[in-house]
Amino acid sequence: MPERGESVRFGEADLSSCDREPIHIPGSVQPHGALVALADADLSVTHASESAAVVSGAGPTELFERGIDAALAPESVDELRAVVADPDLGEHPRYLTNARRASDGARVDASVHAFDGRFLVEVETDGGAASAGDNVYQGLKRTLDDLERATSVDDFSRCAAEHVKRITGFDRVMIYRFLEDGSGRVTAEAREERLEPFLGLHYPATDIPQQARELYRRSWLRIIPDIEYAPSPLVAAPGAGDRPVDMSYVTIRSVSPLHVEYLRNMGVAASMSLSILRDGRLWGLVACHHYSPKYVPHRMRVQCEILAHMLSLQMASKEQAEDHDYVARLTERRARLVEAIARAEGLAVSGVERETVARRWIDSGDLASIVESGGAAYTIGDHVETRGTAPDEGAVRELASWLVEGDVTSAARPGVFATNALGDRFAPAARYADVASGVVAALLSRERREIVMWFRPEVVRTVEWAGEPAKSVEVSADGARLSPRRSFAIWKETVRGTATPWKTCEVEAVAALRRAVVEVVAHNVETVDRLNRSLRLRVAELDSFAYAASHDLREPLRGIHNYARFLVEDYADALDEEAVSRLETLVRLAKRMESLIEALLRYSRVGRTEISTEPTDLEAVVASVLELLAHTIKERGARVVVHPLPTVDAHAPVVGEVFANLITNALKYNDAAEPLVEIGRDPERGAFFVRDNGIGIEKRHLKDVFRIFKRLHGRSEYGGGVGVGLTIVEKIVHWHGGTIWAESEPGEGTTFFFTLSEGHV
Amino acid sequence: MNTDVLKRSIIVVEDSDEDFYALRRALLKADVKNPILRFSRGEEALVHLNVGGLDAPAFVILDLNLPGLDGREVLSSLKSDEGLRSIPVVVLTTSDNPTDIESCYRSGANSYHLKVIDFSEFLETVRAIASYWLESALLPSPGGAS
Repeated sequence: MPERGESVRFGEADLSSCDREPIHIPGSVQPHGALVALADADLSVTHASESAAVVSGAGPTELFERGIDAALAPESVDELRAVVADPDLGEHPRYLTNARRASDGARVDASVHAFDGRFLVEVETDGGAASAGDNVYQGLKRTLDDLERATSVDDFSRCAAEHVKRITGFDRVMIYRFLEDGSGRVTAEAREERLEPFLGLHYPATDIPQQARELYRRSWLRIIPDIEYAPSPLVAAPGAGDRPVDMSYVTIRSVSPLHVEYLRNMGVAASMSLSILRDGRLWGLVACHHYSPKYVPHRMRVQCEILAHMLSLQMASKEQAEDHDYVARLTERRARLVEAIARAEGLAVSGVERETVARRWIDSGDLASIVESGGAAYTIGDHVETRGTAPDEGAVRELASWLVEGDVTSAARPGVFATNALGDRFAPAARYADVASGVVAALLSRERREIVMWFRPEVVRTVEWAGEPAKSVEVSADGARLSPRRSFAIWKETVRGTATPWKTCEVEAVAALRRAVVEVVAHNVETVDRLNRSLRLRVAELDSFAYAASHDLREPLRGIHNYARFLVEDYADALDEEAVSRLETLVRLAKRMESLIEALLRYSRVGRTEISTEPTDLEAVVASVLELLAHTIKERGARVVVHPLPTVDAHAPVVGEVFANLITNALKYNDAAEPLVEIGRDPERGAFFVRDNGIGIEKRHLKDVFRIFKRLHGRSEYGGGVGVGLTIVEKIVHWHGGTIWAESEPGEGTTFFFTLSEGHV
Repeated sequence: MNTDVLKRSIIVVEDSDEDFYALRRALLKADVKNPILRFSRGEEALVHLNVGGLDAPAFVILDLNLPGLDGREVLSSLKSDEGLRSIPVVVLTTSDNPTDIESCYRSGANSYHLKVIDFSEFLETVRAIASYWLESALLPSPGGAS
């Protein structure tokens, strides 16, 4: 077995060295044709295959003596001379029209090409009646029309496979597409029904060795009419020299025994392949198989070659159109999402938590479909949202940390990270490679740890080979056998932990999304800053207003109050009862005015600043409020029932005031023999409640109770009061982003419901 | 009661005539017999206190909201002046703003009281102030002002 690095002779390669087998200089041809090499200087015959005797009517010896005239009739030789004289003749064969043999005038298919300092003439016995010409176009027109109509690359490929099968009659025609890593996939197939499907089959890169692919890129067609052929050696003329004949462009070139073995393992007896090129690179192959020997005559091959050229030319534009469509779809989805984000971010400006804001746009835009992915996730701080098929929350959090702390985003695309083999970059990810081997992530904010990511599953998960593994894998003495099933198994191994790679347009889409979001947020941060500044200004104004109101309004009030009182005190003798009573009224009025001003001041102080919340144990708050009101509760003989209450995020100092006001009211406006106050949480309404069995409120007043200074009863009824308690409670509740409302039946008690945040409690 | 204390004046800085009338009435009811010196403006009070040769008052009752020189500034001036800082200053004002309370004590106010609207309560406050400074506490020597 040749060691690595050693040169390999044709026919002696094995699996480990097959990429170094010199398949372009096999030194033999397939016997269905004859090869004659002519020196380019004088057209003397330098080499000829033994098969020339049968195929062209003149064996090597004759050809060496008499030249090409031994094989071809005079008119054909003339034509040949004319063709080789054309400076444009290159490595692609030019066919002779109406070639005939010298020996018996029988028609043959003959072609010539120039390469490596030689003219190489190939001759095959005529396989069909008419020569290449107008029929070819007719036959192809239908094909070309169908191809034109195909909308996607896959459609296009399938159409091509079907037409090649129709034209040639091969049992199986596949379109085989190379991926960026050199592996391949059968993307389209037209086959006889009885055959096991190869559609979807993946091949590792090693299946078609590098030098074979290079050859396929240069020549366009390969054919093996019968794999069990006995190679016909190429004989060198005496004095022809050692330089081997480079048969890269020779159609009847003898092929590598490894390739023959591969075909044999599949039961294939004849094959043909055509190259599909895009921008000078090998895009893929049209691979044809037949399960019995099959000779494809020249005319048919020409049709197929033209078809392959068409495929090559159109493949580029089909792929571009497909990409273009895809990019347009991505862009449209992204635009919609950005719109949703902008709308949702408006909430952030008004102080709603970022998590709630994000949930809005995650749900309204279709986050997972921004790029083709299995699922998506959004994180901010420790909060995680996932959609579709994604790793579990803990894994996402771990990944987010690594993305934020590691310096993994690219310089070319700041804030964006993409990989199709996450396990290679971040070892813990191997755990969930099945779900997220591919990740593309956008860092929206490093300090908030706000990231959006999209996941792609391990590609083996997404791949199904339609074929049934009917036979078990056969293992030979040297440890391996070539077969499609084995190829698939090998391919599966090479792609463990990798996902379908992200297209450039997809990574760009994510980068564009990130830029849009960052812009929206920056704009909003600016807006928020501006709003905060103006808020601070207004607060300062309000503060001084409230202060002025408090001091300046109260001074004359005090004067009125005191002087009325002093009058009564000092002139009690001179004043009659009525006079005294009126003066006392003055005093009372002044006192009332003072209460109103003080209440107004209290009201104005609530919600002056941006709310700051902390986890607040509501049960503890209620307990301390009840302690404060203990005297009143006892005095009323009331019973207070407190149901379990949660801990919620709230502004602790004012929450007590809410409960205090509501409980006080519940006690005040209560005629019952045993007043009952219940405090708890209503899961159906998603709100907290304070319920009493008191006098109730008429429906038309249910909203009025919150109006400042509005009382439903006389000033001295039910313990009086200024009428600002519920107004203040409402303001506190709204400050938290919550709502408050009352439900009641006159005479049957009242329940006040309230929430301390947007959304349910 | 120390007869010396009786001779010391009580300085009141209050711009409102009605409020001053009420305060004086309350002081009378509280049996305070010390001479009461009233200034409507902070500047006038400072001028008086800075004049040499006078005895220092027993204490100063200071309203915060004065026209012109604000009561807070009067307080600062008094408490930063070497010769005057030992005079007790009692702030009697309408504001219950915690910021005001904090800053007054920081500036060296000796105590801070609210002017409540109800006269009976007000009377109690005044009684407490008078009793504290004139009976309970010992005052610095009157020669403090120079």
